[in-house]
Amino acid sequence: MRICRVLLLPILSCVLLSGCWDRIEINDLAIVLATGIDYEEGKVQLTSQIFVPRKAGGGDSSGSGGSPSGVTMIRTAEGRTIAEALNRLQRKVPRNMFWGHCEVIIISEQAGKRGIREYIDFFLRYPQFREHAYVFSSEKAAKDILALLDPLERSSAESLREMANLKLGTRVTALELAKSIEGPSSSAILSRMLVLPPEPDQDKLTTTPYVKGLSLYNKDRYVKTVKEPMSVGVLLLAKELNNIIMPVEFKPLEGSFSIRLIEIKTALKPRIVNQHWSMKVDIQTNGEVVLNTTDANLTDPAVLTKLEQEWSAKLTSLAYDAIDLSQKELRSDFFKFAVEFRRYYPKQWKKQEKNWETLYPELDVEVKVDAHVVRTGKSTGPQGIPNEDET
Amino acid sequence: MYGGVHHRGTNRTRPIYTQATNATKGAGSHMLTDKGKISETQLAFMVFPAILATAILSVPGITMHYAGHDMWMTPILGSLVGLAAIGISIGLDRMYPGKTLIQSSVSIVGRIPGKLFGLIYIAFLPHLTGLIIREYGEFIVNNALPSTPLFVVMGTMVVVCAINVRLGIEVVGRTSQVFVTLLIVLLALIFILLIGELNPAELFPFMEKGPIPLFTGATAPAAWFSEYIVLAFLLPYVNQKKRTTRVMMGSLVLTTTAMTVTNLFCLFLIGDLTDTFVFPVMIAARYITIADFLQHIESLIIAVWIFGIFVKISVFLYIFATSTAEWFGLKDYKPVVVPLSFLCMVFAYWVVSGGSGISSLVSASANLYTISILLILPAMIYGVAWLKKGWAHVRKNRASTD
Amino acid sequence: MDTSVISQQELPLTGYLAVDQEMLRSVFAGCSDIVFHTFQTACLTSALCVYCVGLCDTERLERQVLTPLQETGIEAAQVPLASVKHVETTTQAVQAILEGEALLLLDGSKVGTAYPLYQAANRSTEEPLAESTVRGARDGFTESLTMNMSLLRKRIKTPALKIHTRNMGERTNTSVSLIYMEGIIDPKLVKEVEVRLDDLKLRDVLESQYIEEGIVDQRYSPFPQMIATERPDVVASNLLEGRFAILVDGTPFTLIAPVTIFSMLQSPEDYYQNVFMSVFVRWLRYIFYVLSMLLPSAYVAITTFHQEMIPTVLLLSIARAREEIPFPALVEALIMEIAFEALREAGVRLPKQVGSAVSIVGALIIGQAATSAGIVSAPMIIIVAITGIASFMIPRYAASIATRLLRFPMMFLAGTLGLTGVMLGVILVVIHLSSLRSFGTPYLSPVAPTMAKELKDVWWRPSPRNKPH
Repeated sequence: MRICRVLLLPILSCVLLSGCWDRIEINDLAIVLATGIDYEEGKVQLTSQIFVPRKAGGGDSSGSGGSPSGVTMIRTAEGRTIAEALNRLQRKVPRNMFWGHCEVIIISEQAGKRGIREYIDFFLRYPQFREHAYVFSSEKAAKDILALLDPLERSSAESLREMANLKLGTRVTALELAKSIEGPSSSAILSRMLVLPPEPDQDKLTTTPYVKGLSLYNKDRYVKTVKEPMSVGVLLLAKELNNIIMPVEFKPLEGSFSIRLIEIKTALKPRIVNQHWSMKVDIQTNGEVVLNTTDANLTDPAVLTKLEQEWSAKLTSLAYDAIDLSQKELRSDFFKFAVEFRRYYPKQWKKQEKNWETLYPELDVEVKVDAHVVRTGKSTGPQGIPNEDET
Repeated sequence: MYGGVHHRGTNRTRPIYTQATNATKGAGSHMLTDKGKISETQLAFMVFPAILATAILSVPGITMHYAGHDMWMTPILGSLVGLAAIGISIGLDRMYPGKTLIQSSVSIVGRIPGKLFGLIYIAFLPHLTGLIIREYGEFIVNNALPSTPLFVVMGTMVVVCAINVRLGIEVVGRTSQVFVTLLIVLLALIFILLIGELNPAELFPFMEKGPIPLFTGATAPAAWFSEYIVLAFLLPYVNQKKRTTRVMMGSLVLTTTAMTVTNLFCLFLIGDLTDTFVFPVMIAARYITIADFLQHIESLIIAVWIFGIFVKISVFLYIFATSTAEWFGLKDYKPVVVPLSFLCMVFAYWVVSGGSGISSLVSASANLYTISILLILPAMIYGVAWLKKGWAHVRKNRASTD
Repeated sequence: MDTSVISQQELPLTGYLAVDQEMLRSVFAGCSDIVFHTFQTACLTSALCVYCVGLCDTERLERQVLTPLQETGIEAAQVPLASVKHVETTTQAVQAILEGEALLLLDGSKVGTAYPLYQAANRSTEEPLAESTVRGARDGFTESLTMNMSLLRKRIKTPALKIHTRNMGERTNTSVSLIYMEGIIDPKLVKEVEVRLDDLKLRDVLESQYIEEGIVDQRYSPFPQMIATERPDVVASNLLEGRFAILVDGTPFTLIAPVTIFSMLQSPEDYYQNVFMSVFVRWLRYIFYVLSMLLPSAYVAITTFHQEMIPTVLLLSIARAREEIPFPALVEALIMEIAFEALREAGVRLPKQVGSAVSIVGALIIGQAATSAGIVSAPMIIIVAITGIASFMIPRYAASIATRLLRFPMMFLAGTLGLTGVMLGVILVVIHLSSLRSFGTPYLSPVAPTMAKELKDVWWRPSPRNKPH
């Protein structure tokens, strides 16, 4: 009995020490920071942006002015499906590809036209991917954006992630993308990235991607790109408007006020009365005046009230433009009206679920904007007018 | 090393001091195969993860599948089953103090039927324990250690639980106290961290398909709640039964709340997609990201959850070992522990052939199987016992009036 | 046959001085520090005085015993000394001489007299080096049992403080005292300790550890089940809480039992400081106690198995730092930990003059050079340093031994199974702690089993008015 006890520990150790099966050292990992999906000649192209670790104080001592603090490289592979492309990609990299830190996914519009359903399934199924990765779309190839060496941040993936955190466009995670495509409205909106032209004396790749416009997806296919000012309306209705300064004209005076949005709340209120389906969109917003190029003085309450009215009118027209785009032109529900109807009128929704495609373009939508200007910045009256004393 | 302490030069295996404090109380307790005692709070601490550890993994998916957006109400319905199980256990313990279910069944329905009843349990318990161990193994291998052989993952846990069980009910009780406290604190922390990402509007649509799916969805939590019958096996070890009912009710409320909160969190975070994921709670945990530094802490959650599953496997292994020892009339259950744990490992391999088998087993048929053995059978025994007592009472009255 | 243990027969003194003297001389043959002084009393009786030169106060012996006997002719029993003992057998005679008493044998008398003139070289009380506090008393136990008892007695001035002294060790005959407060302590506990001490047959007792290993419940456990302390205020406060203490002559380290793991993590200073400070420091100690056991294994587990848990920024810096390191994380951790342990042991042994050089050497070699040479990475050094600090935070040295030892199996578990392995290790440790008892008290009380009244002493520091005992 004693022998058994004495032998137990060595035997157990043998079992454990015979193989540390899952052990992967950090310096055997190729850490992927961002993924890009393109589609060319019938094949899916998967690009990964891999971090290249350099020992601190070793590598980039010969840095010119704008050399990045970290270095990334890209590797691309193609295959018939995205899973096959992933496999081929591993063969081009001498280390284990580690997707657990992939924070950014870029899908090119070309790939989007074919349908992104396959990619969503892959991202939500393969164990290592994060559901919290931000998804963007790009006008040209995704791999061009991933190849950039950002001068300010560690990598272009980092700058994209920070831009998403700042809510410069939409902020869509993989999980949210899946929810909006699999949900009743079957649509999605993604921010569209372009490449900033580099400085003339810099390396072609030392530049930053930036947000310009939105890509709209119906079901799981890319349908249209919208730019400003239409994108403002789309974002407004999709509850993703943020970080924006709008000029508001102030007739009959010359010039305009620029208002920065502080807070905006969009509420969607569905109503079904006597088989008549309608949706009321309630927008409440606060803003701050940051530029005044008119001669009007904001301390005058009449001016303020008129400004608020003008601003509400502008927002309302933007909203209606966006609604027209989605109802009449594209005939798909981008703003998740379907979800709201399902929530509050489940029985009627069940009956009409299949007819939503025909129901939606005929839907009665009413937009009501309640806008307030709460602050006027540091100054009151208009500044910078020459010969001011002459009034 | 195991329990009894041997002093040099003496034949005593336990200090006088502890022998005095562990004096067994109650008449029939000499038949119990373990001389240790636990307190009511320790029992409540043991039972809480015994229900919740695996429920947290599977219940949100199953209930979402059947009940849709009303899945958060299903644990409340299922807790009725738990109430019944608690009632049966406490009632049986009151009628036959100091006897576990295996022993009292012999007294209630006679020797042969009672032994048969015990045999059903001795055959069911390794099946259930094996299923739990396999679920643990599959979960770890899927989420944390993909390349490690299943045998190593399950084997190490079974070895640890066997050591725990062999040391006695007191050790099992104390370890569960320590771990369950940690478990509750850390899980509460996780939930608090997730509050920012929730969308309460997912509560609607309400009663989308009517009230019937609520009941079909509630069978899954009900099967888990019927595991409260473990009380019938563990109540004889409790000393000082002053507030048993209240403590057990408290434990039931806590378990129901925990399950409901888990369901709510999954619903608010993932919404309709909850039943498309294998382990929705894991997805929820992966989604937490605070200030860009607290990310992907699902490994931490797995680590914390291991504590819970450890307590659950220990409790069931303990019940299995003591029931077997009692059925065979042994004086001490300790020699039986190691072979029985090996048997449970064998069952773990045998019960399903693959990970998907687990999900299908756990959804429909397993629930009814579990409820019938863990609830219906003891209910029948309890009914018979009640009738017997009532009949004896009537006979006594008749005798006294004659 | 071991003749060092004197298996004397209990021979009574014959009364014939020559015979007795011969008997004693044969027993003490070869002991040149035992003096046989024959003289004649004033009544012209032959007398023999036997005493041990090192242990006996010869000046007082001459002044108060020999001179009055030789000159004034008083009776042996009338010598003006307190607590004179009578011996009747050789065993008692030998014992008396070895305890520093002067034995007087008179021709014709079957009873000898032993005069207590014990005076041996002694250290005065100093502050204990290993347990210093910022605020609190600065006296510490010494090697003399009587002085230690006096330090306790002057703190607890009630007759309820009971002291039972006995001799233990067949060859060393060391005085060992069992001390407890009657009325506070459980009488069954006292009985249990006395039974265990009686059952303990030791040949030598040189330090309290000899006794501790013999009477604890579980010898093969890295966790100490008795506290060994040099501070009388610690002993006094524990006695007042219902524990007992064992004082051993020849060592300042006193044993206290029964203890729980929380008493290991409490310092007497908790009650000498402000409440909030004490609570803060207490929680810090709990956290660092866990860290000292788990930090290296958690680091190894996370960087080897669960890299997705590390924040991206941190992961990239660790990747950069580990790029040139040839060893896997587990080996690196083992190298560093073993080097640190070696450094620590070396630091204890070295004389004070060289001590500072060791710390410089350690910092330079391990810290700077190893990192530049690319043998270990900077994050690993930080981990090892924090672990070292954590283990120094534990008030009881014996408790930190447990965590230092358990670190290594934990690292192996972490290296093979990742966080799952670490959790299994934690579970095993908790199982062991749950089954451990210190003289009947479960080691994890008051947390498990829960004793609500005492729980306040765990997470808070109750005021002395509201102390549970």
